[in-house]
Amino acid sequence: MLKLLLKKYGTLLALFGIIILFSALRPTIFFTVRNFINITQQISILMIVAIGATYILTISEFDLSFASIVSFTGVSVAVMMVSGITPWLSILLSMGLCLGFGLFNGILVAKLKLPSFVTTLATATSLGGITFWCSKGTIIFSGIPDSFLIIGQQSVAGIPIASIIMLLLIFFSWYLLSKTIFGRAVYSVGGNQIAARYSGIEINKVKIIVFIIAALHSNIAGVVLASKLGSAHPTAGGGYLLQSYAAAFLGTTVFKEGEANIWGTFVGALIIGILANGLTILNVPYFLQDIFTGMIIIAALIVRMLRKSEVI
Amino acid sequence: MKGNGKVILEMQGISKSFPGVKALDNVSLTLKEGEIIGLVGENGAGKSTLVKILAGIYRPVQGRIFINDSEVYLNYPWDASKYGLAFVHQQLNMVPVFDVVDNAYLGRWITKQLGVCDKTTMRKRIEEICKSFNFSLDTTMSIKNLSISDQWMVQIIRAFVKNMQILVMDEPTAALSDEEVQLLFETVQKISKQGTAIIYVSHKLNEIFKLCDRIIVLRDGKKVYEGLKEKISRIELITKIIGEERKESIFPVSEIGKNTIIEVENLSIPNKLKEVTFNLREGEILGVYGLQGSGRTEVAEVLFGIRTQYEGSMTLMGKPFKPCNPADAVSVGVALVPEDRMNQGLILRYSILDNLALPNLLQYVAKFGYFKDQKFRTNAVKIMKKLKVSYRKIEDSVELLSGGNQQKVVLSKWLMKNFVLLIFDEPTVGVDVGARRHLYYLIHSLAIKGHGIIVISSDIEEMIEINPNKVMVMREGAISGFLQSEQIDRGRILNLCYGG
Repeated sequence: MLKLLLKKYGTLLALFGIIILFSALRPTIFFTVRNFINITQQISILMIVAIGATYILTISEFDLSFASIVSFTGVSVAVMMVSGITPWLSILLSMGLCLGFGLFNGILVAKLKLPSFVTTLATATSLGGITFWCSKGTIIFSGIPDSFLIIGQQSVAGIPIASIIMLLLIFFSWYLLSKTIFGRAVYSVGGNQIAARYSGIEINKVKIIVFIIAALHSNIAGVVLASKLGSAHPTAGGGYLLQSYAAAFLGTTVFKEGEANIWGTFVGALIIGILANGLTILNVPYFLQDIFTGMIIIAALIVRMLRKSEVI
Repeated sequence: MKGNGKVILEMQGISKSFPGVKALDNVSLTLKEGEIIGLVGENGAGKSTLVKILAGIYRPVQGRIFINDSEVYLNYPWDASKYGLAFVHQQLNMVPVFDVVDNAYLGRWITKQLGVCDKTTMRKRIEEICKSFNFSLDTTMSIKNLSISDQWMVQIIRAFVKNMQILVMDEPTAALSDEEVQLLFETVQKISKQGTAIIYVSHKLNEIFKLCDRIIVLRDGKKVYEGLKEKISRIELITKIIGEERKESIFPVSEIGKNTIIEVENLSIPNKLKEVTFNLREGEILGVYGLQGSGRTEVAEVLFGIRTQYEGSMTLMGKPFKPCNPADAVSVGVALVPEDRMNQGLILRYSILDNLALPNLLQYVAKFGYFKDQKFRTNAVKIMKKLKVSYRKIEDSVELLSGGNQQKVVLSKWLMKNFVLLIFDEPTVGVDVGARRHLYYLIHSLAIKGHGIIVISSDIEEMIEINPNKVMVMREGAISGFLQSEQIDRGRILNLCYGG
């Protein structure tokens, strides 16, 4: 009974466990409304990237270009704004570029049937090069208009705009993946793409759209990040690739059995975010946070494995 | 010394079961020095299972195996090799980037010190074998650059690399040209004269009569005949293979309408299909019979837009038809119940409901792409009831259903939408007798509604039991003949199929 409970709700229990632990250790700082709002802002960029990862995992592929897109977005938006283009137009243009990049990844993987892992690693490398070229390898901060900084630094009715963007995107993707025919097509491609194809689903189209959606989410995350930092750096997005997959993988252990799903990913991002937040409050050195994060992912994978073996 | 030599191999009372099927049931067999036994039977009769038991790939549930009068346990492939058994299996298993020599010696490379491959010795041996075959082959070529028939020759040569006392060949000639078959037979006869005993498995009765001394027939896992080839005629052998006549089909033959559903003209794919031409009218059931590799599945793949590289033309409901993917074919009303239910027909771990929804998404879409799941569920439950599918909950995953019920789910996917042409590829593989009968009944009731139906099968029982309006028999990519409803019987089908 306990084993069953652990398997089914293990990840959620872990989340509550962490919250209880930190609350007990630092009740006055950790367990406050203010800190929880803070946490949603802290995880917003990670979660937005992780939504993209959720789509990619759903179709059983990989996309290793998230970090490069995040960095590229920041640098490209900054460069455009510095050269006098308005913030809105700069964001829109960078979005267009990232859409094109996602389309390119999608075509390589879906139409040319290249293995997504290596393919996106390669395209990500090239994009990284382009980013360095645009930024000339330096941090861009002077000349970024103040109006751009609103996105990542301001709040509306006490809730950070970054958190609002994250929540809107979560709801959008939750609706798209679980309520629409497109979502069903996406899950069917991940479930068994031959059966999906033989049922008349245009699997290539689905895959390409998924790669575009993923790229756009990294793009939005890049905008939020650049705005939050008030600067753009060619490697600013570095940490988000692995963490986004970590969140999405953790998410496969909650709600929808063994499948990537948006709310599961949110739980995953919360675990990672709360851990980082709590450990920082406890003054634990940064490298220990990484060690913990790695361990948690392994634990989640073991839980997932146990579940799978039970089905068989 | 043929047939008079000492007994090399003796198999006693071999039985083997797989979930739901008894693949071999108390089969015994003896093989003498220098003897060639022909092992025949329909698909699924147990031939390959027997071969795999000898190869140490499967272990028998019951029975004993003796080689040279001492009992042996063939638990692993290397055991078989230790006792001098060599195999030519049904599937090509080659490493494409390796050359001929490395493939022929795969896993048994001759080495010098420190594990360095002794390529020279190996190459010399291969060239000797090629010479004894009268077969010329550049041994430095990569396997992937050889033709399929040359690859098969390498697969055969592989068996000759080590000294053997028993050679087992499972349909080795499917991809070989006539000349190569001739070369192979001469070589096989030569080694049998030198004392090697041979088990030869084949669908091709001509080969069996030409090559073998003794014939053993398996049917449904049982040995039903054993005797010298002189003692049995071709027709008698066919009857042994397929069993006694069964009752006539009782399905009503539907009225054929005057509108043509599909017309296929001169459909050709290099090495796969040769000028396949046929048509199908409303309410007509077309049976397509052929062995593996006869082109039967390729026809379905072209019709359903899976294969897009072909010559020839097609017309569906009077309009030119050239689907470039399955979605295209589905959009104009073509449906396929594919051969491989587990991999092509269903997403096994998904629910019955989710599987049924796959081809029907566009019919149940509302604003903002919303999938009308309640309405769909109601209709899905209805169709499940109509087809008498037994399940616990419609949200259960399809892998919990029996084979017959799974197949009904695949069929239901299409019945929930409009279609004009429904293709069944091997509809009853792994489906039990009762459910089979019900599926045939469903096929007929769909024809009566005016749909065009194509049933592809390599199971002759099935062809006869369905009793289609006409049967198209295929052999080596071409149509070898049509049989009208009243002409359909085993003898005629098999005659067209094996080329009498």
